[in-house]
Amino acid sequence: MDPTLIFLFLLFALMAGGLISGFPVAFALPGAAILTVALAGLSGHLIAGDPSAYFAATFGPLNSLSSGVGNMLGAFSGVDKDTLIAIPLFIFMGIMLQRSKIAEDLLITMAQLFGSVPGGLGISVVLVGALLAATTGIVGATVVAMGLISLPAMLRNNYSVPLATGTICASGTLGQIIPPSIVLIILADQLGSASDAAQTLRQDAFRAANDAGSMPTDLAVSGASAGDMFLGALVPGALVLVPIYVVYILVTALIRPSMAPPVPYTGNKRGMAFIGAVLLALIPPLALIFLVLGSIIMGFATVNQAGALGAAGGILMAGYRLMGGARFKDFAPVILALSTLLGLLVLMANFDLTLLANDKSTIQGLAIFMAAGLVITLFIALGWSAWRIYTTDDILREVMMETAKTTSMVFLILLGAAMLTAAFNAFGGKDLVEGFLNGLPGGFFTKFLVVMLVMFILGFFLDFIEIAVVVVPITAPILLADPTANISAIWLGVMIGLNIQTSFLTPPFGFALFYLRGVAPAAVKTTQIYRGVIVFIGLQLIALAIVGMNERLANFAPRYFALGRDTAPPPSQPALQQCLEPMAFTAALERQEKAEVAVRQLANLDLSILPDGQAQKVREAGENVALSYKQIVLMQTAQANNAEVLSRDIRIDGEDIPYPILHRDIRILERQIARRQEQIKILNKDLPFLSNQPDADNQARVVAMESEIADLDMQIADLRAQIPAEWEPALAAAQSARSAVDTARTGFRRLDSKYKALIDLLADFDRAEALEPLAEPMATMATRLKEEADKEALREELADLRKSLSAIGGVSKVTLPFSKIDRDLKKDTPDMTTVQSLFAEAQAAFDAELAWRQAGKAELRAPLTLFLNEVQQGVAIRTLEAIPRAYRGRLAWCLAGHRDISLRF
Amino acid sequence: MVKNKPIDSMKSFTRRLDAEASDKSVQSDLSPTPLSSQPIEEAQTMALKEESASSSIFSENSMIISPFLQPSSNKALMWMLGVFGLLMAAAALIYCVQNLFALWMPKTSIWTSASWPPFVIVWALLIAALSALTWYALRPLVAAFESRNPDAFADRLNDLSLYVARSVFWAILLVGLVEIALALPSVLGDYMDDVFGKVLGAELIKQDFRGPFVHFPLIFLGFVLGAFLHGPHFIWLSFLIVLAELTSAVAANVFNFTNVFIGDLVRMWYVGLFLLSAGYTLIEGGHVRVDVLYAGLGARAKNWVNFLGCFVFGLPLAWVILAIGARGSRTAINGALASLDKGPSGAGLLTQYFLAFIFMSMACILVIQFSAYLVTYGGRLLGRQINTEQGSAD
Repeated sequence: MDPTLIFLFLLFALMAGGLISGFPVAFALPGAAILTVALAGLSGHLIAGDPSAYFAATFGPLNSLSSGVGNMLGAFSGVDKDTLIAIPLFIFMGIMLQRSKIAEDLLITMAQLFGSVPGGLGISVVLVGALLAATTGIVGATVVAMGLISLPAMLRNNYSVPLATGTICASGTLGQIIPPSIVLIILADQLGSASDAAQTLRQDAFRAANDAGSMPTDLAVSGASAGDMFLGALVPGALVLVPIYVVYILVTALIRPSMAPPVPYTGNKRGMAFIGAVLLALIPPLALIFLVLGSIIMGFATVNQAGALGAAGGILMAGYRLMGGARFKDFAPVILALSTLLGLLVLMANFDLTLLANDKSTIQGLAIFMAAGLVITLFIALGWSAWRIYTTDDILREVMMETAKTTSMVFLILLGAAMLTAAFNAFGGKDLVEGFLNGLPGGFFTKFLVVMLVMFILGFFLDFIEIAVVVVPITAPILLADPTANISAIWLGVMIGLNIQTSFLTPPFGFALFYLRGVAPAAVKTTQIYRGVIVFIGLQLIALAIVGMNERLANFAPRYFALGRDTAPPPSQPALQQCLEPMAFTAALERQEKAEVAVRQLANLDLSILPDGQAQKVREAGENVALSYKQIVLMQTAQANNAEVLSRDIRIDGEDIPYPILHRDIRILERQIARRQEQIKILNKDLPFLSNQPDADNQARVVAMESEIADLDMQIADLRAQIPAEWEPALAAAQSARSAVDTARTGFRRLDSKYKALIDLLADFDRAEALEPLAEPMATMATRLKEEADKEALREELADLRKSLSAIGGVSKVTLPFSKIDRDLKKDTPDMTTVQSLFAEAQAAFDAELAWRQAGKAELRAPLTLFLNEVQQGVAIRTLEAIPRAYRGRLAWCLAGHRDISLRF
Repeated sequence: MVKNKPIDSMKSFTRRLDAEASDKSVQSDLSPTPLSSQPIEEAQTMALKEESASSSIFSENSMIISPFLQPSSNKALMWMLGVFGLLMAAAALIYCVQNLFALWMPKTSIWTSASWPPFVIVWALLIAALSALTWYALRPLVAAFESRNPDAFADRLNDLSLYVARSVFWAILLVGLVEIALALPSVLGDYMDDVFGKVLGAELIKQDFRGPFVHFPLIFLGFVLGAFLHGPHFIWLSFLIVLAELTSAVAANVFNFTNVFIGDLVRMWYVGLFLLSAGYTLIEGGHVRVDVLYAGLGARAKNWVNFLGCFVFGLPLAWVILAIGARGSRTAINGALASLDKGPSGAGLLTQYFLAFIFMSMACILVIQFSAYLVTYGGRLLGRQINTEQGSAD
């Protein structure tokens, strides 16, 4: 056995031992890594005389440790790691809200609201769980509050104990998947690095398969920001998982009413007071959810800023709740904060408050001043609230303490895992896992299922953070790089999130169970808690399956909102083409007649007012439409042909094999060959050095290495022999069909330039406005040249004039004579007549330039715009600046799907 | 026995929680809790308490069984353990300080170029002040060591690590505020020269000036403040990052003002938050454990786990960070420190190298903290042989 492998297993053994021993995870993970590296280095030194003997190629004890320390530092110091800043902010918000007792208020009022429905108490627990998940998101706190308030109520009303405890545990864990959630931020961070790694893997694969330099960007691995993850998890969490829980409880209550009987309402009469209490309990958390998630969705705030908004909201809420929240005085800071916010919104709606604007009007300056005053007031309100919290039982201090401790706990595990990953790589673990996963039969979904299963099982023993930071960096790049499924990082993250949510529920180390056990009455047996949770783990797996089979549940929302933001990509972005192209073609073919009418109208225009070059642009744009349509037809034919070629069966040894299957099989063989060639290359690099060492030890190693190379060569020959002769022609046919499509596509896209020229022409008409005020200075200049003798002054004035002309742009004909004039004026005795005639040239050019623009604006602008509007709905859609609203939904839907791109590799 | 305020108050705080928790658990077992929000908080603290299963290493019991008070042959072992802890802590501190001096001395050579007397005077003052501070920090430690009570000694080691942590906190707080003040004139317009004058304004934008003349004195000031103000102040960073990030949200949305400098500030402070509280979280038992087995272990076995864990996992990690990451001038930490790294943009705050500085400080804090851990659990293990009834507070 390869000694490197032994140390890899030692690493695992030490890690498992360290974790099981109960020493804090944050130190056991990196500690095990360091210990293994040290042991490997030491035994290498003692046995083989070379400390790096038992490490994978290019690694040694020192460089693997220093790359480990580098990884740790890199885990937080880059700008790309700023996503993680959201973690302490959301933790602060959660703990602050927990102290402001919204959980208790919600549980009591919602229980009264839903109690009389069958299973009502259970349903209210699930709904409150969902609301708390979107606000505090702290599993422990939620479970404890529910265990203290809802569990006794459910037990008093003869709920089945397993159902009651299961509902509480499962609802408590909703905070892990419903945003804002710490898990999702950590996953976004880990998947960000993983998708970079996957991109490299995929690029290598593309290069190996296509002999081409770089991979087209539409084949790139799609990453996921924390905001994407939040949006992606929203539907699976709130609209899949929560309804599944609710339906389960409802159905149980209907089928077997004894398990979850309705609770007759016994409290005060349902009047205004009750409605008021419900509103007071519901509105603040809902407002906070709206503020935090809304600002992320609409793109007003980054996830970090939303975290700060949420924390500030938490401070405001705690500020009145801790005072009792009954008197008007208690609400004073909130009311102050809300009214300043309102004032700010009014100011923002009516004025441009850009701080660093160059030309601010007085009113604008005043508005900015007022806004600054309001912002200061807002901070004063916040400070007032914080002061109350600080002076009430020292709660602010406790919140800060808890935040610091929880943040430190999370991040040190993150850092520890960074060190572990370095050691894992140093012992060749990455290649091992990659080889294992890629060697599994059955393609992507086997790999995926294996990884998910491993995470699920680890969930019995580990916490979500450990799983996310240890397993994700190792396995996610392989899953993301796989071209057959071409999954999005968002979907993968949501699936992982849903999966490791169960780690809170699976005994023996299920946090939720642990917390509930702590507060449940002794009459509730631990086995009942375990039993109750099994069903909900099952429901969780059902949700996992639903989202697994419908990737759009996770992908659609982030894609849709991304297309609606200011920063949305233009229609010409390569990544959109796969989806936009078919839509554009359909639209174009539907509108063909209208487009032809528009072309005819364009042809009938009188273009004589335009200079030749400009008129040519208009004519070309008109003629272009027919060409575009021709190209569309060409492309559709090529695509049909391509599809036909790919669906052919290849006859090999009397057996018909569909081309895609053959393609994948051969690529696997080729990868195996490449891996062996790589190994030979590494061995060959060491050989010359070792052969020069005369001692017996080294000679023995040389012999061993040579036989290894021979062995690998033989394996390669075997693998090569497995590639059938029919493969080459089949591949050639597929590639030529594909390149025909590409050629047609390039031809189609090249036509965009003609439409763009027309858009530029329209923009050019608008220059008339800027040119008009310069007519007078031009005329003055002409007379000045006749009268003025001071040539230096003239030169200066000319330079100024030229500067204003060039600032407008597009009038090079006018400015052309200026340099000649300047050169003439520089002479000791300038020939003023030449100068004057040169300037007359410039003036004539100016008049012409102004004239055609003015005429064009008056007469041609409307018909040209009409034409453009028509073609931009069809063939020229790529020239639009933003994606049309009508396309947004369909485009996002299409982009949200996973598509197989394996045949391009 | 010399006691320090923060630790003392924290101890009584944990004790209070313990008492409440045990009261509560009895009560909630007997009767279903009525639908009121009153007792929840107590139960929550109890749950939190359970989470941090081994939270208090300052247990009352362990003082009773202090081996120094018992006639025993373990005295020698205990003495060796104490010396080991002391040496570890001192070594880490000396290592870090000499590392900073080695890296930053060349930066301060501006002083030598002028004339030598100011150089000597400044450094003499600095060294005198540092020695005074060190003495101030180490004196109770030595006193506790002489008192031969392992728990008191561990407490003093904890104080020492807390001192380093809060000093670094004060340093990054001051540096952050001063840096913001320095960044604003150039961010809001080209006002650097107007505010600071032509000569100073031109110097201030250079990192080689800002480091020695702005950052280093503030770091020094931080360590002075840390010596005189007590408490785990670094937890305030959690509140400060909320305010800073909120400012950035308001600036971006209301005033269309986005700039990297608030991002730089938040980054430095949040890194400070979790790295500086790492050691404190350890004493408070906030680091998560896999307690499949651990929860079921007896007190003695737990002591062994924690004792050996320090040797096998904790101390090696902290030392690897120092010895591998802060070695030479091209390693991960020292590379950033030596070049006074001002970050990729170079436009915001010039504080990127503070991340490496905080990281190195964390390693130093962890070494001291693990030494304290070692002394505590080693003391309990040694004490255990005498008194089997009482053990750790777990």
